[in-house]
Amino acid sequence: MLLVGIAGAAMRTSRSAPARTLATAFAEFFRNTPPLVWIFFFYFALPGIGIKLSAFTAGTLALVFYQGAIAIEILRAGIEAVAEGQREAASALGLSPLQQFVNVVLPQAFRISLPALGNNLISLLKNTSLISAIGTIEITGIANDIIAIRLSSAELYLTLGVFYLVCVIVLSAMVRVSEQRLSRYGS
Amino acid sequence: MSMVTMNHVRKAFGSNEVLKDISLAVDPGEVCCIIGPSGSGKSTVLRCINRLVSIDGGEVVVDGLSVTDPKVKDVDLRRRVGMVFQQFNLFPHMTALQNVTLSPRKVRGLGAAEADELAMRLLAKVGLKEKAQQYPSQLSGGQQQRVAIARALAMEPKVMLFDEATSALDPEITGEVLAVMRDLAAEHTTMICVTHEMGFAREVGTHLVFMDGGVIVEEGKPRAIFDNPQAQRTKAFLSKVL
Amino acid sequence: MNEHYLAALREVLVQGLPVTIKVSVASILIAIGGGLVLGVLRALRNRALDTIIIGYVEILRGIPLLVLMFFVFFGLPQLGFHFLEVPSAIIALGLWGAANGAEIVRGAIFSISAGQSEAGTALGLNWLQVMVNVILPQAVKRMIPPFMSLFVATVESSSLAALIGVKDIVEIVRLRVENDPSLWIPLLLSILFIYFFINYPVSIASQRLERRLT
Repeated sequence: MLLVGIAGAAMRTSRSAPARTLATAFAEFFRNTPPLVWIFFFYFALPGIGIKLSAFTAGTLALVFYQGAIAIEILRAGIEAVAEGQREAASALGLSPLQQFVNVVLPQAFRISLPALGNNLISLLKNTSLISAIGTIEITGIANDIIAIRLSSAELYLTLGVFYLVCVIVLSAMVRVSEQRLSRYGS
Repeated sequence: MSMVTMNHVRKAFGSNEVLKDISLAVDPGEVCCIIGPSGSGKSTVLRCINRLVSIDGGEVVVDGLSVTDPKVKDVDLRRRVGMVFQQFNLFPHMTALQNVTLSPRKVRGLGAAEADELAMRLLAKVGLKEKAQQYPSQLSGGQQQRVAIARALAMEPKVMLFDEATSALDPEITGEVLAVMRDLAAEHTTMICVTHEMGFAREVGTHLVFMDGGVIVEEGKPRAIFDNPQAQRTKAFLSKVL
Repeated sequence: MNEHYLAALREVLVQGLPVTIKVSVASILIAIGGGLVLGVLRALRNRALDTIIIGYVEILRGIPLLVLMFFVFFGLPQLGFHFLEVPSAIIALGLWGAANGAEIVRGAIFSISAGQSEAGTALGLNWLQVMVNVILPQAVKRMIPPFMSLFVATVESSSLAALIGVKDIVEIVRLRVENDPSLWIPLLLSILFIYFFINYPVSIASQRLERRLT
């Protein structure tokens, strides 16, 4: 997801118009459409043109694209937030645009974007529950199976909820810690 | 009888004792100027008078009302005390006129026409009648502060508090605000001003208070203190700012 | 094949789209209303109340929306609360939306400088008067772009309702392809475009508004 985000954001802010349009179109399209539908698309629709993916692959791919599109937007905002002066200084030092991007702009953009990226990660975690809709081995799916057998759904969903909640809390804490670590170098 | 009396007032924010032992009496018609280095607690003194800040110990009496008495309602207290802030704090979504009429209408219950008339009179008094329908973003800093003064006067208070009213203004503009304050003083309005404008304190002030580190170090007639400061700290401060 | 597609598409648009829109709009209205109430309550700075509200928000944002919807539709009947599909979806989406709305409202209110409420208080206004006359008029402007983003998220999340049987555009597609699997690609692409055409304008408008406000 991060790779898509970085590559996409780089294209989004690049100077070449075609790259920009392509990346923007990709990001905006995936961002404004439901991940569930994408999961359906990758799993059910692609076989129609001969691409058969396992439920796991389809689900993962769909989420990578969806959350990746959001990551592109987040990183784009982060890149734009990096002061113009930084790029000028890097230029003056003789770094090529690619070197500037990788060594100066990206690390700072990353640090700025960290909270939003953390949220994106959490949202990714929650969206994995959608994959149950295509019957993958995944917690929500297993819960539904258990319900079919034992019919005590209220408790089960509560437990499920608590499980996700704990994961989210742990993830949030990790994000916060990494935010603090990175901000020690000042912004 | 004094208009404002403070007796052995103490206030701490967390572990920081901002006011250690403040005792002050301001008579009606006095222009009391409080000067001192940053962090000496000057702004906090003002905020204790209108209950924007609650005190930890001691007593504050305003126009006969005890600030620490829970039976004294906020509304009654604040109608008697007008405050002008360093950052003006005008409401940006209202015109100058609306800023001034808000309190008379909501707190004093005046009708729209009455409130408008009062507000226009006050805006004329501070020299801004033509700007009544303008929004704060369309006014200069000095104009905004004058509207803020009119807004505070709309409550027809007994005491006016000025918290570094000119500190946020460019030097060329402070004059217009100080002129309004001078007029108010000439009308025998009771004023308590935290200020860095030594000229104003000396010429217009009738009672000077020098604060440092949460206590009043020296107080008395402005000219006397400026010309002949008694305490060492006062001398040090004045030599830096004059 | 083309007629099958067009017939299916018509059903999607005529029967499914209103449902998608109804669920989304009802949910966002609950989100705005609930968010305003909760956000303003947090402005009271009452520690007990704050803890309850924060608890609510964290829980509802920490669990997947799908699990919440399942809980409302499948789980609540066990505790005696029976809701049909559409109300279940709206309840789940609304609760989730209100949690997000509370954060939006709180953020907007707290972003108004303290000097504003100080000035209002010094003028003799009580807490409610300050909130209604001074703070909220300024805060509302700052709430609009985030609420627009929330709307986009709500429309997207409404697709989950299909999984509890609500006949929105996703569910209708699913029903139709049971008879004719070759319709998967065209129909899915169609509803992707439908979602896009609803959300993209809102998204862009929100970005523009945000730029104008800063």
